[in-house]
Amino acid sequence: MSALLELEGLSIRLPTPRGPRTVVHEVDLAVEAGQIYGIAGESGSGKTMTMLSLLGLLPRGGTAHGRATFAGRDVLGADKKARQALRGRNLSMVFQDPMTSLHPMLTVGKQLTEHARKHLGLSKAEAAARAAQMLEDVRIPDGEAALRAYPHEFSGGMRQRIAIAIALMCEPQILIADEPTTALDVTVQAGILALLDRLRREKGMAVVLITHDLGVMSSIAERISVMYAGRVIESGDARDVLKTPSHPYTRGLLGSLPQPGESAGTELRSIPGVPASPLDPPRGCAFHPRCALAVEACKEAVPPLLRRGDHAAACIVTMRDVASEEVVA
Amino acid sequence: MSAVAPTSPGGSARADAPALEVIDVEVVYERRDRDPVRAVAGVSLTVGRGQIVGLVGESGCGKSTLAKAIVGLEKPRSGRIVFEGRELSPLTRRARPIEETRLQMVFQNPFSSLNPRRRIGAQLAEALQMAWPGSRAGGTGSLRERAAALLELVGLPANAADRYAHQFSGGQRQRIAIARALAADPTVIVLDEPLSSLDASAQAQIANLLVRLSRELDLALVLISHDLAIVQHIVDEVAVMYLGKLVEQVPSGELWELPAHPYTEALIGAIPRADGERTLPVALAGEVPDPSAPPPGCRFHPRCPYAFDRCRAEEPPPIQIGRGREVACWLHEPGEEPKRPGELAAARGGDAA
Repeated sequence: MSALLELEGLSIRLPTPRGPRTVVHEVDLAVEAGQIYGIAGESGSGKTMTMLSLLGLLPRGGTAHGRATFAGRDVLGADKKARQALRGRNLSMVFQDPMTSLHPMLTVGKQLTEHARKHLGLSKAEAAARAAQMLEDVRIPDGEAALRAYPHEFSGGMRQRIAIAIALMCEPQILIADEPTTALDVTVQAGILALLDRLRREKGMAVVLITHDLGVMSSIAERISVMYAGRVIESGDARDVLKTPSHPYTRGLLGSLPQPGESAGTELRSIPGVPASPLDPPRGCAFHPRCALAVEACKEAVPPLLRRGDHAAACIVTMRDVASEEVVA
Repeated sequence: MSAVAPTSPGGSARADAPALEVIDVEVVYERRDRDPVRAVAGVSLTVGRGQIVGLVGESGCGKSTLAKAIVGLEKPRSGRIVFEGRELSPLTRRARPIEETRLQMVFQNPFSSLNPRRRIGAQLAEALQMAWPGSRAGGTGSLRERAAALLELVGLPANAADRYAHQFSGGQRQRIAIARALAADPTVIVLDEPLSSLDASAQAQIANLLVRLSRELDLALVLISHDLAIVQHIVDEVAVMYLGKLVEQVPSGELWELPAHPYTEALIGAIPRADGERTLPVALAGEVPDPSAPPPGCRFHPRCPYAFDRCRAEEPPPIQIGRGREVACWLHEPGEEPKRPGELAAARGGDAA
């Protein structure tokens, strides 16, 4: 099965006060229809920037290099018009803070129906009926009244669900969700995760789920890529990555999570130090200054993604057994 | 200890008093043309010296309002806040009595509470100058030396004093905010969501730091958070808040295995587990109701899977169960051993509606 969204060697350069810097390096990933693909990493790891490049939303002066295709069509080289057609119908995005994507002066109904009428050519009545249905799907009570209300009249959790409803109005083939539940309570988060999973099952929608929360990732993602300092450092089947993490960074992230039921008062394990800046990463493996397993060679060269079957990790220590078989580019 | 216990209009500090007592506090927001909101609808909570208490609940439950009321940033309509045995005077535009500065607060976003244009050292020095002269932090050495000592206490190098807030990561900025609170030599710090703006690895570091500081300095902490998973790890006791009231108080060691209130059980069930099993967390039905028109009876009953007739009619008072536990739920009987709500509801059998 060919992938719906495919990135090959995608790199992103941004202008900085000290000249242009590459902040995302050679990202490969393939998302299939009906698949939930998780991209994990801490702030500054490049996960959001990678997805913004697909929508043509990089900061001013930023450039994307490499290849990105949606259903076989080039995305990076697309002109403004082609991109606009792509957004909404095929690909839409939800951000962490719903107030950045909701218009404070327009009713929820207007914001829900505007794009559907434009992209799907629906009549006013058809669009309104669909909007009411969509609000019901995201469990907003009293949909009719909600359509006439303004964003500020809703709680944070409801606003995020409205933003998700807007993103889903045109039945996109793929939804890019950037920390969609990070600002929400776990009780509300659980409902949104269930909704995304249901849309995947029922409508075959693919989701790229960007989150630093490995628990969220674990509950719905099928595949995972973990990013650190602008590179994918581990990827594979979600179960493999979470149960047998191969990169020391992934292991550290999982280890730093509070284990449910683990006796209270035990010290949380944490990764020493602070995340590497993607603008000025350490030489060699960007994680080496924080890594307990680091050897001399880690300081020399950036490790390639080494594969053990379907599971890949960029670590010459934990993947030593397969390191020799690889052709190091 | 008389030298360190100056008197104030609210009475004098008692050495044997708990660090902090919140007694039946109610905070009400009046609104023009609309019903007032009882954001905190009568909460009592005791924090022992050196104890870490977590206050958890969904957004809108009133936990941040209660935090502000504790430090004096909100004026309670009724009830009392007693700090080291002395009733706190309301915060006004005048400087707070200096002994009351030993009750400190750390906010969620350290980037907005630190001054972006002043060096960290200058901000710490200012806090040290305002500290109580009888305190440890008011001790010997130059301001610079004492600022360096504060930075060391929170795990930062002394040269951090020469830098600005933007030059630090989120976790480091939170350390600086904690250092500044420590300048007053506090006995209680109220922290409002101190971990929620941080990445996972920084969260664990700050959580460990808070536990260490509490133990080393005999410092009581009130940790406000929506993240039950991390809270239960670092606190001694958890207080669960729903719609302006506490529904359960439980030692953190018993919380996970034996939540007594249906709401606590729902909060635990909604936490996603990073076990690679692709199991969806359990969603809690319904919405948090409008706090200006709380449901009659038990405030949680419209969302409670076990609610029966009494829950819809009468509000359950907090009762003692097990050892040192409190719960406000009609499923429980005073003095009995704590049991899971599902078990008690099943035992009720035909009674349940």
